Amino acid sequence: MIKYAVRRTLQAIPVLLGISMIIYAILLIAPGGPEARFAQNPRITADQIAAFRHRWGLDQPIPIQYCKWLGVCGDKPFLVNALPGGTIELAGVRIELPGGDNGVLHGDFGFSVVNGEPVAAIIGDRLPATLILAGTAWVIWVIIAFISGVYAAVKRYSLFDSALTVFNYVGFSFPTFWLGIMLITVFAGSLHVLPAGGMWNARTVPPFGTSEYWAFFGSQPLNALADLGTHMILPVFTLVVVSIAYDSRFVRSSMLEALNQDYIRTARAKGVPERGVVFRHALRNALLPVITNLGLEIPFLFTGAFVTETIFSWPGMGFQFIQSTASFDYPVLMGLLSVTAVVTVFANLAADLTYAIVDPRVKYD
Amino acid sequence: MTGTAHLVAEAPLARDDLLLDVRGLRTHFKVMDGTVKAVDGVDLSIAQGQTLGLVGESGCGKSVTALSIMRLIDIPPGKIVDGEIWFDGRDLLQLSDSEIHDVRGNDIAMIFQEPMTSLNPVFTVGEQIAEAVRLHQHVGGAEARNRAIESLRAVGVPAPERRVRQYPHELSGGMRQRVMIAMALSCHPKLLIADEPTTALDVTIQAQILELIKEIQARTGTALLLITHDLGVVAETVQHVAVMYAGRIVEQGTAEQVLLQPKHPYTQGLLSSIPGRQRRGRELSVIKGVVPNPFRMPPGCKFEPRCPFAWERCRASEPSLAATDRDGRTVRCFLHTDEGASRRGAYEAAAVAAVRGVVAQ
Repeated sequence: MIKYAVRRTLQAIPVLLGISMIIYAILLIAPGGPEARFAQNPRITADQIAAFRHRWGLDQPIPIQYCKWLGVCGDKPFLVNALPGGTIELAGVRIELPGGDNGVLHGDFGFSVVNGEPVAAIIGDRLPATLILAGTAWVIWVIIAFISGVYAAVKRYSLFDSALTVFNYVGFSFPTFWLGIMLITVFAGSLHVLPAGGMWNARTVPPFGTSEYWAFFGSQPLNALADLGTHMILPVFTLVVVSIAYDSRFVRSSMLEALNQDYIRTARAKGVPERGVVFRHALRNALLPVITNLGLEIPFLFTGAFVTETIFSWPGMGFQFIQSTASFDYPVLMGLLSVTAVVTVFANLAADLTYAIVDPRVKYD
Repeated sequence: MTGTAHLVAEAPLARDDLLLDVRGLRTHFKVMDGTVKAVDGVDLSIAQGQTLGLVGESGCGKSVTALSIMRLIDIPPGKIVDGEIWFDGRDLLQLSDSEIHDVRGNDIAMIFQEPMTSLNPVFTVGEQIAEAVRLHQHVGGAEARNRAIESLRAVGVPAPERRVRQYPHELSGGMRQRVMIAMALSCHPKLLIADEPTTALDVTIQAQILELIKEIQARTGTALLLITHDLGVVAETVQHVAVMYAGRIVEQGTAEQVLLQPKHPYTQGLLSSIPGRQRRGRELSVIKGVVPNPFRMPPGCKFEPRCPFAWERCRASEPSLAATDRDGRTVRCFLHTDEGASRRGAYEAAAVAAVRGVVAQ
């Protein structure tokens, strides 16, 4: 199992390299670029735009740009540049390392074309906000999906089952932006009981992510939580309603399949009470496909929900992605997409490993 | 109560020493196109320690009868609409859910046809056997585990201490069926129901498993209800036989009586269709026609459309399961009533020929 995990981790390296090449190529081949925002500005000359492109390296061939982003091209030879550079001290001996010091391989994701902020800092700002929102919504909808899915399977064709089916299809068919706007209209616009968007009340709370914010959180935890909570209700509700259907149907069908197996009849014939049949014999088997599905949902916790975050001005990864796409902010986009790729690859691995723990028939070596 | 059940209730079979007495059982299934009367008036009885074979074609209601006794019919679509199932002085159909849980696996245990899928893949076989012991014998985990090992040893599983830690997918089909038998016997049931226990196994393993069931039955004295479509299995394993057709018992008696002197044309047809050495080179004898459509059952005898001996009487109404001559044999056929007396000769000649063909082997 450990050998398998190590092998899969090593296999992930060429996979991630391939993914980064493809997304880099697609981003840069697509028409437009960071200079597009100057095109309609009469006070900016063609020379100035050319200088801007040169400064950001956009005038170089795409493969060269990619190599520089990755950190294998630079002022040093190709492979040497991929190694870490600088000096380190080992047992009192200073060692000069020959390699380069910028590019992703050196832990440097570059800077935003729009505002010059380091990409790593932008992600560091946005990720916690997304984890809070998406994580909360995910936990809530997975719990509800489990309870409702299992109950619907056990009481198949009951009133509850039919009602759940209707609710799931309605929720699944709601356009997220429409539901979000309706909620804002009703609860913020008409009733004035919840904020229309954002993550904190700017009049009373320091900006999220700053040290002042955490100081505020430390000194008045209840007020801070209440403020965060009221801002989360509408976006979390939106995410849960539109996302619950898939998992709920998945749990229901997986559970139905397990309940129809011969070993369930064996358990009943043995005299196992219905509760034991459902929760011990059927659920344990029904979990197997569900685990894979949940593993595939983990990347969502990191990428965030584009539409929901944008509608509710939630300063997360999805919100940032939409903004950076609009302004062709290649370094930020590459940073966000790289995080997505890494999380997706390792969430898959985690799901596969969990599978082996739950199902004795699955053996990795 | 129907006339049929009434007759049997008064027949010599209804005695106090009966362990299981099924009377007028009707189990119906509501499906899209109507109601399937899978079991429609079954009367069966087994005395303490007795062995009964329940024989019939696929779809005749054998398994539904067994599942009804265990109250394992899925409701809906199924429903036990009528009848009584007396077991050890109680009508199982009147028991509450928790009472029937105490009966299942404890007083009545069941073995199924599919050993490959009848064990839960995510638990070790030891856990699955011990679960039954823990539920019914109220013993702790370690003791239940020891009982599981004992049960496995009793059914001839080698190295049971090691086997209890294995998962079903690590065992062969024959080994899994032994595990199922060990599980069924772990609580010393008074009645063991085996639903086609050897059908899914290799021929060599089939013989071993049958031998094991017979040996255990003799050793523990548990009563046995063996469901099979194989008359050879019946002849080798049980003392009594009930033949089912279209949801009804058509003939009941000792194995010797039923197999050597079949009274019902259907039983006779089953015997004639056994391939044999004597019949080599000749076309296999078959029962003509097909099992009746469950939505359009014939009005009279359900076997009448396929019966070579049928006459108008058989179309008019259905015969009841009545005691014939002596020995408590029962048969559901007008040939063995006064009305059929004149036609009995032709039937008996055919029956003798059919039996001779089988016995000659």
